[in-house]
Amino acid sequence: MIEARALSRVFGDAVALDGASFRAEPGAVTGFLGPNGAGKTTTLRLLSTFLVPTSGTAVVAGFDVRERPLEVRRRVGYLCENAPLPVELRAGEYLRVRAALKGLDRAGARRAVGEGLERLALADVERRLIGELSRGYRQRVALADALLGDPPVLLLDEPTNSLDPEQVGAVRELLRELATTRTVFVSTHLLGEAERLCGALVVVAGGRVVATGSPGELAGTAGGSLELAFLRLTGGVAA
Amino acid sequence: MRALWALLRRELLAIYSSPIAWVVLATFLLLSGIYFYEILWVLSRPAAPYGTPMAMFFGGSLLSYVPLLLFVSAITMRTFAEEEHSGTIEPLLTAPVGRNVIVAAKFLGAWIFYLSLWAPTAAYPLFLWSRADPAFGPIAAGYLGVALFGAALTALGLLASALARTQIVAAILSFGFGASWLLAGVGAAVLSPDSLGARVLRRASVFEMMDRFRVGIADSRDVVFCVSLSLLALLLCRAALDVRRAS
Repeated sequence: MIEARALSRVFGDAVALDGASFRAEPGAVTGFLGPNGAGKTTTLRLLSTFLVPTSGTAVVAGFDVRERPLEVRRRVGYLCENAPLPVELRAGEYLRVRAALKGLDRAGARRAVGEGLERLALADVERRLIGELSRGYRQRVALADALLGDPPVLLLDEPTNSLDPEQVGAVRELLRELATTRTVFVSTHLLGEAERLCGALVVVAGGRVVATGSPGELAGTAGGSLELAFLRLTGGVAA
Repeated sequence: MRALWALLRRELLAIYSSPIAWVVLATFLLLSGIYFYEILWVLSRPAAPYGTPMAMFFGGSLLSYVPLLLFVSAITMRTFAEEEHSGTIEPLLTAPVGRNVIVAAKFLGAWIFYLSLWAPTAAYPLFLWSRADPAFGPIAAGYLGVALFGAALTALGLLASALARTQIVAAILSFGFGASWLLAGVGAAVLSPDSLGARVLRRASVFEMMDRFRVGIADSRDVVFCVSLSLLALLLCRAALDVRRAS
Protein backbone atom coordinates (compact mmCIF):
# COMPACT_ATOMS: atom_id res chain seq x y z
CA MET A 1 0.00 0.00 0.00
CA ILE A 2 1.11 3.57 -0.69
CA GLU A 3 -0.19 6.57 1.18
CA ALA A 4 1.15 10.04 0.36
CA ARG A 5 0.40 12.71 2.96
CA ALA A 6 0.77 16.32 1.80
CA LEU A 7 3.93 15.34 -0.05
CA SER A 8 5.92 18.32 -1.35
CA ARG A 9 9.23 18.80 -3.05
CA VAL A 10 10.91 22.07 -3.98
CA PHE A 11 14.04 22.48 -6.13
CA GLY A 12 15.40 25.98 -5.48
CA ASP A 13 12.52 28.28 -6.44
CA ALA A 14 10.64 25.64 -8.43
CA VAL A 15 7.83 23.70 -6.74
CA ALA A 16 7.83 20.26 -8.35
CA LEU A 17 5.22 18.75 -6.05
CA ASP A 18 2.84 20.71 -3.86
CA GLY A 19 1.08 18.92 -1.01
CA ALA A 20 0.10 15.75 -2.89
CA SER A 21 -2.08 13.31 -0.96
CA PHE A 22 -3.29 10.05 -2.45
CA ARG A 23 -3.50 6.30 -1.82
CA ALA A 24 -2.73 3.25 -3.93
CA GLU A 25 -3.70 -0.27 -2.92
CA PRO A 26 -3.48 -3.80 -4.28
CA GLY A 27 -6.31 -5.05 -6.46
CA ALA A 28 -5.81 -2.99 -9.59
CA VAL A 29 -3.02 -1.02 -11.23
CA THR A 30 -3.06 2.60 -10.01
CA GLY A 31 -2.14 5.08 -12.72
CA PHE A 32 -0.40 8.34 -11.90
CA LEU A 33 -1.54 10.41 -14.84
CA GLY A 34 -0.40 13.87 -15.79
CA PRO A 35 1.12 15.97 -18.55
CA ASN A 36 4.87 16.40 -18.94
CA GLY A 37 6.39 18.32 -16.02
CA ALA A 38 3.40 17.67 -13.74
CA GLY A 39 5.54 16.14 -10.98
CA LYS A 40 5.10 12.43 -11.77
CA THR A 41 8.78 11.47 -11.81
CA THR A 42 9.50 13.59 -8.72
CA THR A 43 6.70 11.77 -6.89
CA LEU A 44 8.09 8.36 -7.82
CA ARG A 45 11.58 9.49 -6.74
CA LEU A 46 10.14 10.51 -3.37
CA LEU A 47 8.21 7.25 -2.95
CA SER A 48 11.31 5.21 -3.89
CA THR A 49 13.38 7.24 -1.35
CA PHE A 50 15.75 8.49 -4.06
CA LEU A 51 14.77 12.04 -3.05
CA VAL A 52 13.81 13.36 0.37
CA PRO A 53 10.52 15.31 0.61
CA THR A 54 10.74 19.03 1.40
CA SER A 55 7.62 18.62 3.53
CA GLY A 56 4.93 16.00 4.08
CA THR A 57 5.67 12.31 3.91
CA ALA A 58 4.53 8.99 2.46
CA VAL A 59 4.07 5.52 3.85
CA VAL A 60 5.11 2.76 1.46
CA ALA A 61 4.53 -0.90 2.37
CA GLY A 62 3.96 0.17 5.97
CA PHE A 63 7.14 2.26 6.36
CA ASP A 64 7.63 6.00 6.34
CA VAL A 65 9.91 7.15 3.50
CA ARG A 66 11.56 9.74 5.76
CA GLU A 67 12.09 7.59 8.83
CA ARG A 68 12.68 4.09 7.44
CA PRO A 69 13.99 4.53 3.86
CA LEU A 70 15.96 1.27 3.86
CA GLU A 71 12.87 -0.72 4.90
CA VAL A 72 10.93 0.97 2.08
CA ARG A 73 13.65 0.09 -0.44
CA ARG A 74 13.55 -3.56 0.69
CA ARG A 75 9.87 -3.72 -0.28
CA VAL A 76 9.81 -1.70 -3.49
CA GLY A 77 10.58 -2.65 -7.07
CA TYR A 78 11.39 0.58 -8.89
CA LEU A 79 11.61 1.26 -12.60
CA CYS A 80 13.30 4.64 -13.08
CA GLU A 81 12.52 7.13 -15.82
CA ASN A 82 14.30 6.15 -19.09
CA ALA A 83 15.62 2.94 -17.50
CA PRO A 84 19.25 4.00 -16.87
CA LEU A 85 21.53 0.94 -16.83
CA PRO A 86 25.31 0.38 -16.67
CA VAL A 87 26.29 -0.17 -20.31
CA GLU A 88 29.46 -2.13 -19.49
CA LEU A 89 27.58 -5.08 -17.95
CA ARG A 90 25.82 -7.97 -19.66
CA ALA A 91 22.05 -8.12 -19.16
CA GLY A 92 22.12 -11.33 -17.09
CA GLU A 93 25.13 -10.14 -15.11
CA TYR A 94 23.35 -6.89 -14.22
CA LEU A 95 20.27 -8.75 -13.01
CA ARG A 96 22.44 -11.07 -10.89
CA VAL A 97 24.13 -8.05 -9.29
CA ARG A 98 20.72 -6.50 -8.60
CA ALA A 99 19.42 -9.76 -7.12
CA ALA A 100 22.40 -9.83 -4.75
CA LEU A 101 21.72 -6.21 -3.74
CA LYS A 102 18.12 -7.17 -3.02
CA GLY A 103 19.32 -9.78 -0.56
CA LEU A 104 18.57 -12.91 -2.58
CA ASP A 105 20.89 -15.84 -1.89
CA ARG A 106 22.75 -17.49 -4.76
CA ALA A 107 20.04 -20.08 -5.52
CA GLY A 108 17.22 -17.57 -5.08
CA ALA A 109 19.01 -15.09 -7.33
CA ARG A 110 19.52 -17.68 -10.05
CA ARG A 111 15.84 -18.63 -9.91
CA ALA A 112 14.60 -15.00 -9.83
CA VAL A 113 16.87 -13.91 -12.69
CA GLY A 114 15.78 -16.92 -14.76
CA GLU A 115 12.12 -16.07 -14.16
CA GLY A 116 12.72 -12.40 -15.00
CA LEU A 117 14.50 -13.24 -18.24
CA GLU A 118 11.65 -15.57 -19.24
CA ARG A 119 8.82 -13.20 -18.20
CA LEU A 120 10.24 -10.29 -20.15
CA ALA A 121 11.44 -12.42 -23.11
CA LEU A 122 15.09 -11.54 -22.49
CA ALA A 123 16.69 -14.99 -22.64
CA ASP A 124 18.26 -14.33 -26.05
CA VAL A 125 20.05 -11.18 -24.83
CA GLU A 126 21.18 -12.50 -21.44
CA ARG A 127 24.85 -12.55 -22.46
CA ARG A 128 24.82 -9.34 -24.48
CA LEU A 129 26.29 -6.08 -23.21
CA ILE A 130 23.57 -3.64 -22.13
CA GLY A 131 25.31 -0.94 -24.18
CA GLU A 132 24.57 -2.98 -27.32
CA LEU A 133 20.86 -3.43 -26.56
CA SER A 134 18.02 -1.43 -28.11
CA ARG A 135 16.00 0.94 -25.90
CA GLY A 136 13.15 -1.56 -25.82
CA TYR A 137 15.39 -4.33 -24.53
CA ARG A 138 16.93 -1.98 -21.96
CA GLN A 139 13.45 -1.08 -20.76
CA ARG A 140 12.67 -4.78 -20.34
CA VAL A 141 15.92 -5.41 -18.45
CA ALA A 142 15.05 -2.54 -16.07
CA LEU A 143 11.53 -3.92 -15.67
CA ALA A 144 12.92 -7.38 -14.91
CA ASP A 145 15.13 -5.72 -12.26
CA ALA A 146 12.08 -4.03 -10.67
CA LEU A 147 10.32 -7.40 -10.42
CA LEU A 148 13.30 -9.22 -8.83
CA GLY A 149 12.59 -10.52 -5.34
CA ASP A 150 8.82 -10.27 -5.82
CA PRO A 151 8.40 -6.93 -3.97
CA PRO A 152 4.95 -6.06 -2.54
CA VAL A 153 5.06 -2.56 -4.08
CA LEU A 154 6.00 -1.72 -7.67
CA LEU A 155 6.77 1.89 -8.67
CA LEU A 156 7.02 2.05 -12.44
CA ASP A 157 7.83 5.24 -14.35
CA GLU A 158 6.39 4.90 -17.89
CA PRO A 159 6.84 1.10 -17.95
CA THR A 160 5.82 0.57 -21.58
CA ASN A 161 8.15 3.28 -22.91
CA SER A 162 10.08 2.16 -26.02
CA LEU A 163 8.37 -1.25 -26.18
CA ASP A 164 6.90 -2.65 -29.39
CA PRO A 165 3.10 -3.19 -29.52
CA GLU A 166 3.38 -6.92 -28.78
CA GLN A 167 5.55 -6.25 -25.72
CA VAL A 168 3.26 -3.42 -24.57
CA GLY A 169 0.36 -5.90 -24.49
CA ALA A 170 2.42 -8.53 -22.66
CA VAL A 171 3.68 -6.04 -20.05
CA ARG A 172 0.18 -4.67 -19.43
CA GLU A 173 -1.09 -8.23 -18.94
CA LEU A 174 1.76 -8.95 -16.53
CA LEU A 175 1.15 -5.77 -14.51
CA ARG A 176 -2.59 -6.45 -14.26
CA GLU A 177 -1.82 -9.94 -12.98
CA LEU A 178 0.75 -8.61 -10.45
CA ALA A 179 -1.69 -5.93 -9.25
CA THR A 180 -4.12 -8.54 -7.94
CA THR A 181 -1.84 -9.17 -4.96
CA ARG A 182 0.60 -6.22 -5.00
CA THR A 183 0.45 -2.44 -5.11
CA VAL A 184 1.34 -1.46 -8.67
CA PHE A 185 1.78 2.30 -9.13
CA VAL A 186 2.42 3.35 -12.72
CA SER A 187 3.21 6.85 -13.92
CA THR A 188 2.14 7.75 -17.44
CA HIS A 189 1.24 10.71 -19.61
CA LEU A 190 -0.58 8.49 -22.12
CA LEU A 191 -4.37 8.43 -21.77
CA GLY A 192 -4.65 5.21 -23.77
CA GLU A 193 -2.22 3.50 -21.38
CA ALA A 194 -4.17 4.75 -18.36
CA GLU A 195 -7.49 3.63 -19.82
CA ARG A 196 -6.35 0.14 -20.83
CA LEU A 197 -4.10 -0.67 -17.88
CA CYS A 198 -5.36 1.09 -14.77
CA GLY A 199 -8.28 0.40 -12.45
CA ALA A 200 -7.67 3.58 -10.46
CA LEU A 201 -6.19 6.94 -11.43
CA VAL A 202 -4.50 9.79 -9.60
CA VAL A 203 -4.41 12.84 -11.89
CA VAL A 204 -1.65 15.36 -11.26
CA ALA A 205 -1.06 18.77 -12.85
CA GLY A 206 1.31 21.56 -11.90
CA GLY A 207 2.56 19.55 -8.92
CA ARG A 208 -0.92 19.16 -7.40
CA VAL A 209 -3.26 16.18 -7.31
CA VAL A 210 -6.36 17.41 -9.16
CA ALA A 211 -8.53 14.27 -9.21
CA THR A 212 -8.71 10.63 -8.16
CA GLY A 213 -11.05 7.85 -9.23
CA SER A 214 -11.46 5.05 -11.73
CA PRO A 215 -11.08 5.84 -15.44
CA GLY A 216 -14.86 5.35 -15.78
CA GLU A 217 -15.63 7.77 -12.95
CA LEU A 218 -13.31 10.44 -14.33
CA ALA A 219 -14.64 10.00 -17.87
CA GLY A 220 -18.17 10.31 -16.43
CA THR A 221 -17.40 13.90 -15.39
CA ALA A 222 -16.92 14.87 -19.05
CA GLY A 223 -19.65 13.03 -20.90
CA GLY A 224 -17.81 9.72 -21.00
CA SER A 225 -14.55 11.01 -22.48
CA LEU A 226 -11.44 10.46 -20.38
CA GLU A 227 -9.49 12.67 -22.79
CA LEU A 228 -11.84 15.61 -22.27
CA ALA A 229 -11.87 15.05 -18.49
CA PHE A 230 -8.06 14.95 -18.46
CA LEU A 231 -7.74 18.13 -20.52
CA ARG A 232 -10.19 19.95 -18.27
CA LEU A 233 -8.46 18.77 -15.10
CA THR A 234 -4.98 19.62 -16.30
CA GLY A 235 -5.90 22.91 -17.90
CA GLY A 236 -5.44 21.65 -21.46
CA VAL A 237 -8.79 23.21 -22.56
CA ALA A 238 -11.25 25.52 -20.87
CA ALA A 239 -13.91 23.69 -18.87
CA MET B 1 28.60 -8.77 2.72
CA ARG B 2 27.03 -10.29 -0.39
CA ALA B 3 25.82 -6.84 -1.45
CA LEU B 4 29.30 -5.36 -0.93
CA TRP B 5 30.88 -8.12 -3.01
CA ALA B 6 28.26 -7.72 -5.78
CA LEU B 7 28.83 -3.95 -5.92
CA LEU B 8 32.61 -4.34 -5.78
CA ARG B 9 32.50 -6.82 -8.66
CA ARG B 10 30.36 -4.41 -10.67
CA GLU B 11 32.76 -1.57 -9.86
CA LEU B 12 35.84 -3.54 -10.93
CA LEU B 13 34.10 -4.54 -14.18
CA ALA B 14 33.28 -0.89 -14.83
CA ILE B 15 36.87 0.22 -14.12
CA TYR B 16 38.64 -2.48 -16.12
CA SER B 17 36.25 -2.17 -19.09
CA SER B 18 37.07 1.52 -19.33
CA PRO B 19 39.81 2.55 -21.82
CA ILE B 20 40.98 5.20 -19.33
CA ALA B 21 42.00 2.44 -16.88
CA TRP B 22 44.24 0.76 -19.45
CA VAL B 23 45.75 4.08 -20.55
CA VAL B 24 46.51 4.88 -16.90
CA LEU B 25 47.97 1.42 -16.30
CA ALA B 26 50.19 1.55 -19.40
CA THR B 27 51.35 5.12 -18.70
CA PHE B 28 52.10 4.34 -15.04
CA LEU B 29 54.16 1.30 -15.99
CA LEU B 30 56.03 3.22 -18.68
CA LEU B 31 56.84 6.13 -16.37
CA SER B 32 57.75 3.92 -13.41
CA GLY B 33 59.95 1.78 -15.67
CA ILE B 34 61.81 4.83 -17.00
CA TYR B 35 62.11 6.23 -13.48
CA PHE B 36 63.53 2.97 -12.10
CA TYR B 37 65.98 2.71 -15.01
CA GLU B 38 67.19 6.26 -14.38
CA ILE B 39 67.61 5.55 -10.67
CA LEU B 40 69.80 2.56 -11.49
CA TRP B 41 71.75 4.63 -14.00
CA VAL B 42 72.35 7.45 -11.48
CA LEU B 43 73.36 5.03 -8.71
CA SER B 44 75.78 3.20 -11.00
CA ARG B 45 77.86 6.33 -11.60
CA PRO B 46 81.07 6.79 -9.61
CA ALA B 47 79.76 10.02 -7.97
CA ALA B 48 76.38 8.49 -7.13
CA PRO B 49 74.37 10.03 -4.29
CA TYR B 50 73.78 8.00 -1.16
CA GLY B 51 70.64 5.85 -1.24
CA THR B 52 69.12 2.56 -2.33
CA PRO B 53 67.23 2.15 -5.61
CA MET B 54 63.90 1.27 -3.98
CA ALA B 55 64.15 4.08 -1.42
CA MET B 56 64.56 6.53 -4.29
CA PHE B 57 61.80 4.81 -6.24
CA PHE B 58 59.26 5.38 -3.43
CA GLY B 59 59.19 9.11 -3.76
CA GLY B 60 62.46 10.89 -4.10
CA SER B 61 60.90 14.08 -5.52
CA LEU B 62 57.70 15.98 -6.27
CA LEU B 63 57.76 14.39 -9.73
CA SER B 64 57.10 11.01 -8.08
CA TYR B 65 53.77 12.21 -6.67
CA VAL B 66 52.21 14.54 -9.25
CA PRO B 67 51.63 11.76 -11.84
CA LEU B 68 49.97 9.71 -9.06
CA LEU B 69 47.55 12.56 -8.37
CA LEU B 70 46.65 12.60 -12.07
CA PHE B 71 46.22 8.82 -12.28
CA VAL B 72 44.05 8.59 -9.16
CA SER B 73 41.93 11.53 -10.33
CA ALA B 74 41.43 9.85 -13.71
CA ILE B 75 40.13 6.70 -12.03
CA THR B 76 38.01 8.19 -9.25
CA MET B 77 36.41 10.96 -11.33
CA ARG B 78 33.85 8.55 -12.78
CA THR B 79 32.79 6.82 -9.52
CA PHE B 80 29.82 9.05 -8.67
CA ALA B 81 29.89 11.84 -11.28
CA GLU B 82 29.43 9.37 -14.13
CA GLU B 83 26.60 7.60 -12.29
CA GLU B 84 24.92 11.01 -11.85
CA HIS B 85 25.45 11.90 -15.50
CA SER B 86 24.14 8.60 -16.89
CA GLY B 87 21.28 8.36 -14.38
CA THR B 88 22.44 4.99 -13.01
CA ILE B 89 22.81 6.64 -9.59
CA GLU B 90 19.03 6.30 -9.25
CA PRO B 91 18.75 2.49 -9.37
CA LEU B 92 21.96 2.33 -7.33
CA LEU B 93 20.71 4.53 -4.48
CA THR B 94 17.24 2.97 -4.45
CA ALA B 95 18.65 -0.54 -4.04
CA PRO B 96 18.07 -1.92 -0.54
CA VAL B 97 21.65 -1.44 0.64
CA GLY B 98 23.05 1.20 2.96
CA ARG B 99 24.92 4.17 1.51
CA ASN B 100 28.01 3.08 3.49
CA VAL B 101 28.11 -0.17 1.51
CA ILE B 102 27.89 1.72 -1.79
CA VAL B 103 30.68 4.14 -0.81
CA ALA B 104 32.83 1.27 0.52
CA ALA B 105 32.41 -0.74 -2.71
CA LYS B 106 33.36 2.23 -4.86
CA PHE B 107 36.37 3.01 -2.67
CA LEU B 108 37.59 -0.59 -2.68
CA GLY B 109 37.15 -0.85 -6.46
CA ALA B 110 39.23 2.27 -7.12
CA TRP B 111 41.83 1.39 -4.47
CA ILE B 112 42.24 -2.14 -5.82
CA PHE B 113 42.87 -0.59 -9.24
CA TYR B 114 45.45 1.75 -7.68
CA LEU B 115 47.17 -1.23 -6.02
CA SER B 116 47.11 -3.09 -9.33
CA LEU B 117 49.10 -0.19 -10.83
CA TRP B 118 51.87 -0.90 -8.34
CA ALA B 119 51.68 -4.71 -8.47
CA PRO B 120 53.88 -5.11 -11.60
CA THR B 121 56.57 -2.92 -9.98
CA ALA B 122 57.27 -5.86 -7.66
CA ALA B 123 59.48 -6.97 -10.55
CA TYR B 124 61.98 -4.22 -9.63
CA PRO B 125 62.90 -5.52 -6.15
CA LEU B 126 62.88 -9.06 -7.59
CA PHE B 127 65.40 -7.86 -10.16
CA LEU B 128 67.51 -6.29 -7.40
CA TRP B 129 67.37 -9.45 -5.30
CA SER B 130 68.57 -11.48 -8.29
CA ARG B 131 71.77 -9.37 -8.36
CA ALA B 132 72.28 -8.07 -4.80
CA ASP B 133 70.87 -8.36 -1.32
CA PRO B 134 68.69 -5.31 -0.57
CA ALA B 135 66.95 -5.28 2.82
CA PHE B 136 63.34 -6.51 2.75
CA GLY B 137 62.02 -4.17 5.50
CA PRO B 138 62.40 -0.79 3.76
CA ILE B 139 60.94 -2.22 0.54
CA ALA B 140 57.87 -3.60 2.37
CA ALA B 141 57.47 -0.33 4.28
CA GLY B 142 57.73 1.61 1.02
CA TYR B 143 54.91 -0.40 -0.49
CA LEU B 144 52.87 0.08 2.70
CA GLY B 145 53.44 3.83 2.36
CA VAL B 146 52.28 4.03 -1.27
CA ALA B 147 49.25 1.85 -0.41
CA LEU B 148 48.22 4.16 2.46
CA PHE B 149 48.94 7.32 0.47
CA GLY B 150 46.87 5.84 -2.38
CA ALA B 151 43.99 4.97 -0.03
CA ALA B 152 43.74 8.56 1.18
CA LEU B 153 44.06 9.96 -2.36
CA THR B 154 41.39 7.53 -3.59
CA ALA B 155 39.01 8.53 -0.79
CA LEU B 156 39.59 12.23 -1.59
CA GLY B 157 38.91 11.42 -5.27
CA LEU B 158 35.63 9.74 -4.36
CA LEU B 159 34.62 12.77 -2.32
CA ALA B 160 35.41 15.02 -5.30
CA SER B 161 33.32 12.80 -7.58
CA ALA B 162 30.37 12.90 -5.15
CA LEU B 163 30.57 16.71 -4.95
CA ALA B 164 30.95 17.36 -8.69
CA ARG B 165 28.31 17.07 -11.37
CA THR B 166 30.67 16.22 -14.22
CA GLN B 167 33.70 13.98 -14.48
CA ILE B 168 36.04 16.76 -15.55
CA VAL B 169 35.12 18.91 -12.53
CA ALA B 170 35.53 15.83 -10.32
CA ALA B 171 39.03 15.24 -11.75
CA ILE B 172 40.08 18.87 -11.21
CA LEU B 173 38.68 18.88 -7.67
CA SER B 174 40.35 15.56 -6.86
CA PHE B 175 43.69 16.86 -8.16
CA GLY B 176 43.18 20.01 -6.08
CA PHE B 177 42.60 17.98 -2.90
CA GLY B 178 45.73 15.90 -3.54
CA ALA B 179 47.85 18.92 -4.48
CA SER B 180 46.75 20.71 -1.29
CA TRP B 181 47.95 17.73 0.71
CA LEU B 182 51.30 17.77 -1.09
CA LEU B 183 51.64 21.50 -0.52
CA ALA B 184 51.11 21.03 3.23
CA GLY B 185 54.70 19.85 3.39
CA VAL B 186 55.91 22.86 1.41
CA GLY B 187 53.89 25.13 3.72
CA ALA B 188 55.77 23.79 6.74
CA ALA B 189 59.03 25.05 5.26
CA VAL B 190 57.89 28.68 5.14
CA LEU B 191 56.68 28.76 8.76
CA SER B 192 58.83 29.11 11.85
CA PRO B 193 60.25 25.59 12.40
CA ASP B 194 59.07 25.32 16.02
CA SER B 195 55.61 26.82 15.53
CA LEU B 196 52.50 24.68 16.04
CA GLY B 197 51.45 25.23 12.41
CA ALA B 198 54.78 23.97 11.12
CA ARG B 199 54.63 20.91 13.38
CA VAL B 200 51.08 20.07 12.22
CA LEU B 201 51.96 20.58 8.56
CA ARG B 202 55.11 18.47 8.92
CA ARG B 203 53.08 15.68 10.46
CA ALA B 204 50.64 15.90 7.51
CA SER B 205 53.42 16.20 4.92
CA VAL B 206 53.42 13.46 2.29
CA PHE B 207 57.13 14.00 1.68
CA GLU B 208 58.10 13.54 5.31
CA MET B 209 55.76 10.58 5.69
CA MET B 210 57.17 8.84 2.62
CA ASP B 211 60.72 9.70 3.73
CA ARG B 212 60.03 7.58 6.82
CA PHE B 213 58.34 4.71 4.99
CA ARG B 214 60.97 4.41 2.27
CA VAL B 215 63.79 3.94 4.74
CA GLY B 216 61.82 1.26 6.58
CA ILE B 217 60.13 3.28 9.35
CA ALA B 218 56.45 2.30 9.49
CA ASP B 219 55.36 4.90 12.06
CA SER B 220 51.94 4.08 13.50
CA ARG B 221 51.11 7.82 13.52
CA ASP B 222 51.49 7.90 9.72
CA VAL B 223 49.24 4.83 9.42
CA VAL B 224 46.61 6.40 11.70
CA PHE B 225 46.81 9.70 9.80
CA CYS B 226 46.25 8.10 6.38
CA VAL B 227 43.47 5.81 7.64
CA SER B 228 41.76 8.73 9.42
CA LEU B 229 42.00 10.98 6.36
CA SER B 230 40.54 8.18 4.21
CA LEU B 231 37.65 7.58 6.62
CA LEU B 232 36.92 11.29 6.94
CA ALA B 233 36.82 11.72 3.16
CA LEU B 234 34.53 8.66 2.79
CA LEU B 235 32.17 9.94 5.51
CA LEU B 236 31.99 13.32 3.76
CA CYS B 237 31.39 11.50 0.49
CA ARG B 238 28.42 9.67 2.02
CA ALA B 239 27.12 12.94 3.46
CA ALA B 240 27.44 14.59 0.03
CA LEU B 241 25.24 11.85 -1.45
CA ASP B 242 22.60 12.41 1.23
CA VAL B 243 22.68 16.21 0.99
CA ARG B 244 22.21 16.15 -2.77
CA ARG B 245 19.02 14.03 -2.44
CA ALA B 246 17.64 16.35 0.24
CA SER B 247 18.47 19.72 -1.32
